[in-house]
Amino acid sequence: MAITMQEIEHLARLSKLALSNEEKERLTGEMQSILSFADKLSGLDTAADPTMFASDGQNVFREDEIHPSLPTSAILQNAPEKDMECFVVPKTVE
Amino acid sequence: MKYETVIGLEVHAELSTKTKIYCSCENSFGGDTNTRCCPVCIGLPGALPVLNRTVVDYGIKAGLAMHCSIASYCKQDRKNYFYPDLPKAYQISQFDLPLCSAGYVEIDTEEGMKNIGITRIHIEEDAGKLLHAEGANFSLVDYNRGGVPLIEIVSEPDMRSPEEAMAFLEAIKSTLQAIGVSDCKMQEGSLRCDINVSVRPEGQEEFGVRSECKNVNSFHAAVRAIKYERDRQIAVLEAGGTVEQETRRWDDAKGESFLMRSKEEAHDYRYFPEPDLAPIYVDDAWIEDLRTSLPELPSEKKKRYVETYSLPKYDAGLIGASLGLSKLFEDTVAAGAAPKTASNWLLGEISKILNESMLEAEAIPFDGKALAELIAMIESGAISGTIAKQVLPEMFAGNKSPKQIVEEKGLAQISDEGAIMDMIQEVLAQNEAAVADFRAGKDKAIGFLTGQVMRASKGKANPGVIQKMLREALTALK
Repeated sequence: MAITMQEIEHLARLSKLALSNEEKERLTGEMQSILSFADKLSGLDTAADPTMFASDGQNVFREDEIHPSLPTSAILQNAPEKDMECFVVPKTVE
Repeated sequence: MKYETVIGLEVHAELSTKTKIYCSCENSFGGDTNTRCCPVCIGLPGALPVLNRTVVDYGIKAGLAMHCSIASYCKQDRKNYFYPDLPKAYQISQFDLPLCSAGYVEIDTEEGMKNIGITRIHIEEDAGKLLHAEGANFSLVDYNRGGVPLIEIVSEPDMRSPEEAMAFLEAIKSTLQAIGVSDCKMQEGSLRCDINVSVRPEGQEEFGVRSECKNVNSFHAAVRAIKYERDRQIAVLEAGGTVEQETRRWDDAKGESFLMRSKEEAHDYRYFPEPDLAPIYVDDAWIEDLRTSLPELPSEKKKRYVETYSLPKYDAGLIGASLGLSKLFEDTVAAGAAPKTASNWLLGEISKILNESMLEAEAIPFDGKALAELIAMIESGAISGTIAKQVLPEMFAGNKSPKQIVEEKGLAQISDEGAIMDMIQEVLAQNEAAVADFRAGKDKAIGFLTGQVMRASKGKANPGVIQKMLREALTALK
């Protein structure tokens, strides 16, 4: 599968990233080599049914019981910016 | 040209489990920001989700109540998109294998009963909440709502008018409330919907191009958004244009929708199976267990009320749709009241008080016995209907019985003829013109005079007794 510059621009838009032309070119090349690597898998003979999960666990449930949450200070401790007990992010209104 | 509107709805309902869908943080509304969060809620590296069994139970119950087939095997998927209310940059949802599919919901239309198809019901997590401060160049994020369990109910494009869409939403709400899986409080956002609308020339088989409208937070807004979108699309077509497939955002304050995402960016969610969660297998025993636990559904209640109590369909539908009203109705009838009289009180004065004070029927503080007592007091002539309407708000205010209220406030009907005669004499003296009218043969004057005596008695005199005595007094004057 060939990766085009348009593909990179589309992904950048979805990821809300502003990329320079140099970055776009570099990423097109890098993505291409990642995909070529993964393409090797298509060459394998996989006669088995498609596998959706790596383990064969099923119905792993938790009972509906409340356990204490973390203190707000702990929740916010890695926030780059915080205010009024909230995470601060760039203004986002769709 | 005449157009037909085609409507499909996606309804998101928050489930009323005790905890969130993938962690043990409390699932509740309000409270201080970021106080019900853990590493799973804020998507910290290494945090692992574990599915809440009750969410699956509730999802299956909703599916059974809406006549769906329940998948014997299903899985959860990652829906990828970048938005700050979603800390992991993906939402765990279900993509190609939903928990429930192919059901229907019955609605009442002008042309009779109609089935609205349910395409699917799946389980997923809610996102956090963005708070926008006025004038600020930043937004705040509260992740308390992140991970709150949702079911998304997707309908077939089976509705043909805003009224049918409204009836469908009412049916969903009353069903979810009846089976106890969601409180459906619109003001708390526990029920939200996305609307798909298209129009086509009447008689055309093929669907028109649809637009999707998001951010619809009340039934009222849904109806407005559908009408707006219908009119917008018809205007585009009439002007010779073509309707684009697009996602729009409803602004209820402005009463308009706005283009939200362009076509090439929409629906590129790159779903893939959620590797952190095991697949779900549901066997028949599990399904049957839940099926037998389902209470009577609103549509079944409605039928029963019509058949057993001879209630009009309209009354039966409204009472049957509300858990609070139906319980009170049945208790009142069991305590001896006539079904239609009980229904009139519930849908009349009681609903009026509930609407005025923005209360749900579940908040009514008195029981069926008390309401039956009030009705019996009117029927025995102990109080008039007018007085009963004054007693009712007092019943809402405290835990006193109607009898106590009537006694304490001295509201009992005056049937003492001496006291009524005094009032009549006074009214006759003050209203010579009406008396003259009556003597001139205008019988209508008696109605006016009766009203005046009622007023003088502050509503406490027995109207039948007044009329009888008035006639006697007037005839005596002749």
